[in-house]
Amino acid sequence: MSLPPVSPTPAALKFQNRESELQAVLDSLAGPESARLFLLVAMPTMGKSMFLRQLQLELTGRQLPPHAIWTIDLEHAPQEARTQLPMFLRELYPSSKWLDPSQYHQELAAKVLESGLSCLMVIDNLHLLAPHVTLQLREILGKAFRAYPTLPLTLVATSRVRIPEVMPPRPPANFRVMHLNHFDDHSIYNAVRESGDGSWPHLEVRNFVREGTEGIPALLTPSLQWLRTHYPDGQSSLNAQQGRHFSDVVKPFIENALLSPTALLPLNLSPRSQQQLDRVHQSFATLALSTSIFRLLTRSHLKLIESEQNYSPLRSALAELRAYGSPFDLYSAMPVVEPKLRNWCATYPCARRLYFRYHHLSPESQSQAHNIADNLYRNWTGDMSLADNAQFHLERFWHVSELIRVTSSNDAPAQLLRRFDALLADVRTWRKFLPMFKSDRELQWSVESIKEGLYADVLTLLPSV
Amino acid sequence: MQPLPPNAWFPHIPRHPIREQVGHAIAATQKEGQSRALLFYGRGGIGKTHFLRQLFVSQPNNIAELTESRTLWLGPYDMDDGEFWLLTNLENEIARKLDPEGIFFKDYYDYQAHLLSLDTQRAETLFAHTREGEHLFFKSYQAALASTAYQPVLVLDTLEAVRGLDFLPTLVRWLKNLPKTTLLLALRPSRRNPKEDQLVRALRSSPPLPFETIHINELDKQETRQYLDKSGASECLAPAELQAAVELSNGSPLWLALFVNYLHRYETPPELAAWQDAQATGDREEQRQLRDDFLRTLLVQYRDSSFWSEAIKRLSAVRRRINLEIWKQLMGDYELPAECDSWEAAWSHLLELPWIRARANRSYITLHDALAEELAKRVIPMDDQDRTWRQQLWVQAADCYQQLIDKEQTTVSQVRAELSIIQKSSAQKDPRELISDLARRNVSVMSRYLLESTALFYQILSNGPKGIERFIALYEECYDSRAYPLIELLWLELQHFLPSTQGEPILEDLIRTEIDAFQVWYKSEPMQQAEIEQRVGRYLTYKGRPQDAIAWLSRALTHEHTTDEFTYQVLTTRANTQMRLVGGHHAAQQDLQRAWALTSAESATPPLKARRWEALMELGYFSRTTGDWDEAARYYLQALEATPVTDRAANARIQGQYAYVLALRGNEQDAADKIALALALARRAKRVLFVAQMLSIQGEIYRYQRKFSEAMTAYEEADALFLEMERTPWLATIRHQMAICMFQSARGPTFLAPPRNPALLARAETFALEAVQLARDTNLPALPLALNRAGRIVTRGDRDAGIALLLEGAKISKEMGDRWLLLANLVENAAHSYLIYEATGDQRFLENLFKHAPETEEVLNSLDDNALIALRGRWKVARGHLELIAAVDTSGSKQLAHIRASLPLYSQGYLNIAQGYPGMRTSRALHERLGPFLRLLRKLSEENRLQIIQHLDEAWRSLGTKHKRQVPALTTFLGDVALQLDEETGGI
Repeated sequence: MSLPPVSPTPAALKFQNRESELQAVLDSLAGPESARLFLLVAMPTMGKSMFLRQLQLELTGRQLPPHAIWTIDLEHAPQEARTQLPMFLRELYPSSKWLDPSQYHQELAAKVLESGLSCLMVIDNLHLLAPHVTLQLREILGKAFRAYPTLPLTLVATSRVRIPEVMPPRPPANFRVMHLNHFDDHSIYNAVRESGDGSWPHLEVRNFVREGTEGIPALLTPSLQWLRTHYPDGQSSLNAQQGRHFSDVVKPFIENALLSPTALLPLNLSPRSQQQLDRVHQSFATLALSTSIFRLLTRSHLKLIESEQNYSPLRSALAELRAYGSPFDLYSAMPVVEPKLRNWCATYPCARRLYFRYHHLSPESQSQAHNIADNLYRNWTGDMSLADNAQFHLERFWHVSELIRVTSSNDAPAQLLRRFDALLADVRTWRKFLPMFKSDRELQWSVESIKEGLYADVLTLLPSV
Repeated sequence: MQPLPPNAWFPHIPRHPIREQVGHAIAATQKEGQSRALLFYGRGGIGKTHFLRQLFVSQPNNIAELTESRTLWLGPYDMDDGEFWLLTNLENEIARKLDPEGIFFKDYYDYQAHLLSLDTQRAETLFAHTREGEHLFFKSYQAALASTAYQPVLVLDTLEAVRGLDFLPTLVRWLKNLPKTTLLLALRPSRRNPKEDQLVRALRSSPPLPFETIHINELDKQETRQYLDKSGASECLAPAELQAAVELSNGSPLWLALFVNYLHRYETPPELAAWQDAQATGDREEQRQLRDDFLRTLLVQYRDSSFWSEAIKRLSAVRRRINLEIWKQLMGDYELPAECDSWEAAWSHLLELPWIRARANRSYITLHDALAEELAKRVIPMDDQDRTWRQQLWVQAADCYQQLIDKEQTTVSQVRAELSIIQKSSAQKDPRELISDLARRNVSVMSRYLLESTALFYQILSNGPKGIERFIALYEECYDSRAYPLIELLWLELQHFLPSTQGEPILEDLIRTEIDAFQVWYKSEPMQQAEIEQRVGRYLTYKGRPQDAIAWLSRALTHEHTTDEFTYQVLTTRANTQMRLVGGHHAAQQDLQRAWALTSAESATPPLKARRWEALMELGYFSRTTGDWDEAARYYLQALEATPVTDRAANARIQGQYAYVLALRGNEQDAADKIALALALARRAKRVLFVAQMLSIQGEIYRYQRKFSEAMTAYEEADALFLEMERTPWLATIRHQMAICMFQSARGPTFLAPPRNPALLARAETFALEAVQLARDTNLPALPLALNRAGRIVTRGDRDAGIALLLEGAKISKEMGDRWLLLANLVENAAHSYLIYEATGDQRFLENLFKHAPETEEVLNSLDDNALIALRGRWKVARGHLELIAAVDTSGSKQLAHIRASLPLYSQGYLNIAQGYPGMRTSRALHERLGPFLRLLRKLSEENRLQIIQHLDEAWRSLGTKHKRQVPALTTFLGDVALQLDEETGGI
């Protein structure tokens, strides 16, 4: 695999889906009360850069007081700007001089105050900044805010991963992390509608696109373009097109983007040679693909599937990765893994689902994987908190549903109801379980995919409370 | 992950109202001079430990105002630390603090050193020493308080760790002996019985110790806010978030500390924002869930495998205290984090965390139990579903401890030898240097024991079956190497794993789940259970807890598929334990008979059949200790018949015991012949030990025959052989035999008469006291007789000391279940008390006689009428004397009633004495007891005297043929009485 191109920007589309995040930043610019430091975290291809562009557009388009906007994209900035604070600051303020490190915060505040405007500092790809420079930047910002509590400065940064160095010595009250996830149905529907082809059955196309792209913004434009070519009349059966769409659009995207080093390799991983880099990259790809059967992952998952006969490539991959740290820690540091802090890690659902389809092409392979997962959870001991226990039980429901879905037998709905009823025996009385069950959209979608309306039948199995 | 935070992040919230309560309790103790306890109950992570430790840093202000005494803070001692499961270690800690110069505790230290230098094979002896050591400790403690005016406050933390173990009642019994001390005792509430847990029951049991209960609850909202402000966390939060943090943390100091730590590393937990919404909707269920989610989020900081996360997680599995060396090994697969340039620096970092508990001067640490539990519940299951991680850690921990044990250059026996030398040269040494030497060595031995027991703990955890095998091997090794304190530790460790009748889960940590798994296995292994139960039973017998021991031994007999050999062993052990209980002799006899029946059964295996003579010997010993010497003789004879002639050693042993019993029965010549044969057998078998033992018995038989010179020759040869073989326990026996022999040949004809040979009498006393010391140190079973003999000798010079020895003899006999010697000591106490009273008029001795009368009667009632008949007779005569004393002081019908009451006592008493000293010894035995009777008669009127003499004459003449051997001696005795009275009055 080679390094992929920069993620395609869906230029043909209107900005979608990030309204609330955008509004939060805009609000902060309007008043001093709310957060002043924003970190947008998302995996590659989720439209971070587009968000920043949209933010700047909004600032100029809206009826807001004029703003001074300072921008730096570290992906395209000189290497020194990533490793030396003065160079970084000079890139941000091209004509400035930064002489005395102990006075940087004063100089920064002075620049803001001298502008007489509210200032927006935009840093794209903050994860590329060397950790020590991030720390220094964090310190001067902290000092500036302490010295000038009403300093009209807002920082918005994007990153592929959570950056612990942003926080020390402790996060200020006005710090906020926002996670950018895949597009939801509503946004996809809007995109489909705004794509301009009035002959399409929008709802059906939306479903097709959602299933095909998993809501990944970077797949949206190419998918719609592909549809224009292969579904011009809006008449033929869309479902029959999924396989072709996958091989024409999705598969290359997975190989070039989701399985690229950018998406897979944790930051600060430094293999000594290109050969090593390739091997490590391959191992991470195996890790991402092998674990795609699971919606959540713990060390125990890794240990258990490592011992599974079907996962021998994973064994070699983990052996390779152990030279760089704990496989679980490495997994959790992959940019395609959600940086949310929970008891387990999870690959971004959209990426996970694409990995799974890519890795388990045939229904047989898919059902075998779900069987292994179901078996794993069946032996999962309940010696843990009720919330965690409930979550692992919920996973069984999902795997069972998916198993039945991919095997597509005639009595699939009845089979599902039977299996669910049996599974519910363990958890029926757990207060925590039912709300979790009901809020699991992915499970709901899985059940509905077996048969429309089946989820309503499932709900009848649940206790009424 | 970031470097660990400084301690300053975790502020102290003083909890003033509770501090005030503590202050008042201390002041009350000091004012009233009566010890009392304050019980601090609070759930895990509520801040008990922190609160108690802060008391040491800044004591309650009002103490100084309330009292002028000098408050001395002792502790806090964490009772989940195995170090303190040996109370000796706690005693040493307190002694060092209370008396750094070693002035008041010198005797105690000397005794400890002496204890370590002892060379005894007998577990029971050593356990008895621990009790003696405790006695000295309390004496020294009292002396220290009296001289220093210190008012101690003793703080014990984490007592829930010993709830359910039999150590807790022992500890409370110990605490109750501390005078003028405020006890601050912290523990979690009992889940099973929150209102009255084991600690409360123990405090209430007699003698009760006054106590108050304080519940340490969550911090209130104001205090929580204070915590967040002081920690700097408030600065990171918007006002609404701060409010949410106050409510979500629920005032738990542990969660607040984790929250602060989290904030230093991550963004604000998402639950803070969600809480504000949940508050708005008022959805209680959602709020509850959010609180739980909040806690889970806070623990996410331990999700990764970075150095510090892993360090904490590993400590949640390796729960026993560890030092830097062990920690380094446990973290051996990690490189030091960048912020630490050495392991020492990393260790210091670790110690800064509020959930790390430092132990033993910060050289050991453990993880806070509440955090360990949370990690066990919320983090480790994610990492370690297959449990290999924890198993590997426990294997590693066991290895670490084993390596430390192996590395110890100084073995326990080397330390013992050193101590012995130090002790011998103690006179020339600076006492402080001596104490420091002793303390160091003591610590070294105890540390080693702790390493051994901790290694076992991890061995059981990592592999239950193998761990149990190790326990059994180690247990037997302990007996061989005389490492008895280690047995105590092993038993305590084992209790954590065994299903407990009164226990409850101690902690909900990883260990708990493993214990559950262990118990499933253990319950399916009846043989292992039986092996363990048998050993525990034996241990508890030695610990002086016969009731508990019998319960365990009885359980060992309930399992199917145990071998007859095993059943035989358990029955024998249980019988010996039963004998220690009042009224237990019948059950003991049944057990011994069952054991014998096993060896006699046709189906018995050859090894079991070969033990038949042993079973009969046990029965013989039983009959001997219950005074049934005829029965004993029969058993020994049967044992002889059951022993192959070729087994000379066994033959010699049985012959020796048989001869001894014959001598007790009065068949002295027969006994002399038998012992000569036994001696010849032993000499032929070239078994030096048996030769010496036979010589000891031969000496006794000669002594009964009043052949003192021959007796001494036999004793002296035996003494030389025991010395040569370094058989110190046997020296205790031979020395008291020599002492009584010398005494009998040197004393005067009556109690008050001057000795025939004062120098020999003095030597007898020296030997007797030496024998007591030797028995005390090395041979507890020999102690009751040694004390009996020493008491009888010493009373001639020092009345009080002599009586004290006899009473101690009675106490030890009772503990040992030897009713013969119990009665012997009680009767000697009565007889000597009477003689002293008669000689000095000192009422204290008469009171002493009365005081022990009920116990003496109780013992007699528990015996067969014919058992220990001489002692029975002597006791009746003593009671007869008491009636006559009363008669002397009264007149009329009262006097008559006392005289009438004395008549059957005398007639039966002297008859029993005559029965008890058969053969040639009858007349002497009666004549020796003539003096006091005569002197009492002299105080009565002639009419009364005549009435008594006539009654006895009639009673004895009408005894009939059954007592034809005793009647002549009794009549002669009465004739002597009448004659002496007539001579004085001039009558006929």
